[in-house]
Amino acid sequence: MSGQPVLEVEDLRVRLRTPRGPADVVNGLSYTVGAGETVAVVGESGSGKSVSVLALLGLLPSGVATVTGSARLQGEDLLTMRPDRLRQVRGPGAGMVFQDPMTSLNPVLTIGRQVVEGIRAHSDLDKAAARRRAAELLAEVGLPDPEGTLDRYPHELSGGMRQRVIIAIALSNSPALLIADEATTALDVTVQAQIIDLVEKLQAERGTGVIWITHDLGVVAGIADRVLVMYGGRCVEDGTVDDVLENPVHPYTRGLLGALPDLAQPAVDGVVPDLATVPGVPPAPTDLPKGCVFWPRCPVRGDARCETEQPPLTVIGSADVVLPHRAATWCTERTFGAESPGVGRTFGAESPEGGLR
Amino acid sequence: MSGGDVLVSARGLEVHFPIGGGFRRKPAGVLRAVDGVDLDIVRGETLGLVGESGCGKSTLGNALLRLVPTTGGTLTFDGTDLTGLQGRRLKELRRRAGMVFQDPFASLDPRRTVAQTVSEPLEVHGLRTGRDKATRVAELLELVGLDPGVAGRYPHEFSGGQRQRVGIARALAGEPDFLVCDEAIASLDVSVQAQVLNLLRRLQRQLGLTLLFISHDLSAVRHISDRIAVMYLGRVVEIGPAEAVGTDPQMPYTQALLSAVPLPHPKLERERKRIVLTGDVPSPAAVPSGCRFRTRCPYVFEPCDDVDPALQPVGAPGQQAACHLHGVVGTPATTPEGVTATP
Ligand SMILES: Nc1ncnc2c1ncn2[C@@H]1O[C@H](COP(=O)(O)OP(=O)(O)OP(=O)(O)O)[C@@H](O)[C@H]1O
Ligand SMILES: Nc1ncnc2c1ncn2[C@@H]1O[C@H](COP(=O)(O)OP(=O)(O)OP(=O)(O)O)[C@@H](O)[C@H]1O
Ligand code: SF4
Ligand SMILES: [Mg+2]
Ligand SMILES: [Mg+2]
Repeated sequence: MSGQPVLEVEDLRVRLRTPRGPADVVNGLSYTVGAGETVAVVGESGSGKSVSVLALLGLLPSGVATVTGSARLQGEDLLTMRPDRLRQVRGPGAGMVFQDPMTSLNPVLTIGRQVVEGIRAHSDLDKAAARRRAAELLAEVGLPDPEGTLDRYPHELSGGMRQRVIIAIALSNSPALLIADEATTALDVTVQAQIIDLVEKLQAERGTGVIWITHDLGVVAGIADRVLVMYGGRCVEDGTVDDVLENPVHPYTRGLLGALPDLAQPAVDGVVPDLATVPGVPPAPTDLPKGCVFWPRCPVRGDARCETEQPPLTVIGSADVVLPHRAATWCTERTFGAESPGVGRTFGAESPEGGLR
Repeated sequence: MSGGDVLVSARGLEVHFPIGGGFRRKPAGVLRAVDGVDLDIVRGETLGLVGESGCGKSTLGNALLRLVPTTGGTLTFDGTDLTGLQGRRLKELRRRAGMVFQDPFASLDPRRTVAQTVSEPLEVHGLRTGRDKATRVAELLELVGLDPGVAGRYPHEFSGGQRQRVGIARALAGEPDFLVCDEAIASLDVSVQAQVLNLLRRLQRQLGLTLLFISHDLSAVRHISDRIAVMYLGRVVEIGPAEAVGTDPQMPYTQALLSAVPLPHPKLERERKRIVLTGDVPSPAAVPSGCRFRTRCPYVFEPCDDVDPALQPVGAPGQQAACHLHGVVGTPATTPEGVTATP
């Protein structure tokens, strides 16, 4: 991770115009992605993960979104870039795997047309060579019968097969930055492992920096150098993967880890107990709470400032490391009992389904 | 399975799609998405369905609900033969057997209120009208843990987990006996997934529902299922109690699948040993002879090339696997007609 980072994001803010008033969807996000590094972004549905990366690539509807801050891709600010330059950069500069594979493939064009177009837009391969390359890429993402698949239409593929086509397109230009938004959620674990191997190979060969947005904390544990936890459009905790998953500090992170079904969960009297959840609902971005964004759902609320003052991201433990562990909470570990890390027992199963109030 | 009372039963079920045809051309071959599935789903159980992407899980789920036409085999629901079911009786099936879709964002109509969405099946099946309908909608919303006061709101005003609940409420409106949940939790974050899993388990106990739970999340599947079925290339290759299949799989594909489950603990995850499958990934348009897993199986041996293994009891009580390692049983493979093998 030496030299210039691939991506440096500073104080990114996104405000969206909605019928219910302005929505502050991303509220001051700063992070860097080094060459060959993988930053995993996790967090509540609706916390602004997808919007924050769409904003980087200028992919939010322009009349609706106001984006401020800076985001330098290999030194060049994406947020002030002219649209034609941005189009050049997408592909070889930054490849993106979108969350929704159905809407990012054109239903009336064959898979082959779409992959070949992606390849030819940024290279001078002729049609036949691009088609051979396309078939190779489909084989690399584990699709059976790559040649035959090129001639088929999106609706003839399963969900996971379509998702792999999108991944193949994103990888086709060996980008400097790869953004994967829930890229493997529709895949079984063996195919997922194969895709992760492929991305790691690209990182080793090309120094590709990766932003990996996922709900799957197992995937995070395996691939991430660094983890960023989002809630209410903010980063509420970040640090190395070991720090964040083994010693989570923020009450939201602890709740999230506590909600995981455990493969080794013992049955009590023959009944598997209910899963712990984080009770309550996330804040509306049109109406963010004063104070800590998490306080209305927080089971700790251990400080007088929780409801009134927004906690800054502060270093927990040693600041004298390459990647310090930081959390934005007034309640650091002192406030918690000595229960085992990562298991959010502070969140009982009393209100197991966290209904709508 | 012995014992329980069977609600859904498939024998030799097939869903084949014509491929390579296109406009005014004759199809060049068939794609065997579901290719000889034998499956009994017992009343009141949750059956988890897992398997490789593209192996036919969604197609099987759709076929059980008669949402795609079957091309072979038999299928019964509560003792009634479903093949060729039409008109009023098909409509009755639609009421008794429903689907919860993957994407809570795409599967709700943004222009309809929650009340309109949830009451749609009531109208279609003429179940309730007027005041009764409103009462039933309120009941359904309460059942899935939503405040009945939200009936007048639109989908964009809800979070992902809440939309998924609306989808479940709608699926429950016709008082179905059987629900297929196809990747119903895939787009949700883990705390919301936990809410939906808890909800499904509670509803199942309360209403005696029978569930087919299709998912790539093996921890969630183990958490919610009584039994797990594993599919590979259009077939069920292993089935049994969740505990047995989850901890002591008997079919090499299931073993590889379980070994690839990532663990949410960085230290354990770095030490995990994954069985890496090498060899050609076969296409359902050119199913290998003999055992369909043989092109990638680490244990492949002599009979695997031409004898198609049948499901046989092995391991724990109620567990079955299709693999010659447990003794060679099955039929010698015949070349299926109409299939042009791709090189
Ligand atoms: N085009 C849009 N117009 C208005 N609001 C939007 C738009 N796109 C997203 N939002 C809102 O912005 C917020 C953040 O959404 P985003 O898609 O970034 O969430 P996410 O963290 O990616 O969630 P998930 O994990 O469910 O994918 C949500 O409240 C969402 O409703
Ligand atoms: N309408 C169709 N026409 C042609 N082939 C189809 C059609 N629908 C599905 N298939 C094929 O059938 C096979 C099984 O697809 P299916 O969607 O059932 O897989 P799946 O197990 O649900 O996969 P995933 O886990 O990726 O969702 C795939 O090879 C797919 O390409
Ligand atoms: S039958 Fe043979 S090829 Fe198939 S799973 Fe068993 S050992 Fe492997
Ligand atoms: Mg998203
Ligand atoms: Mg599917």
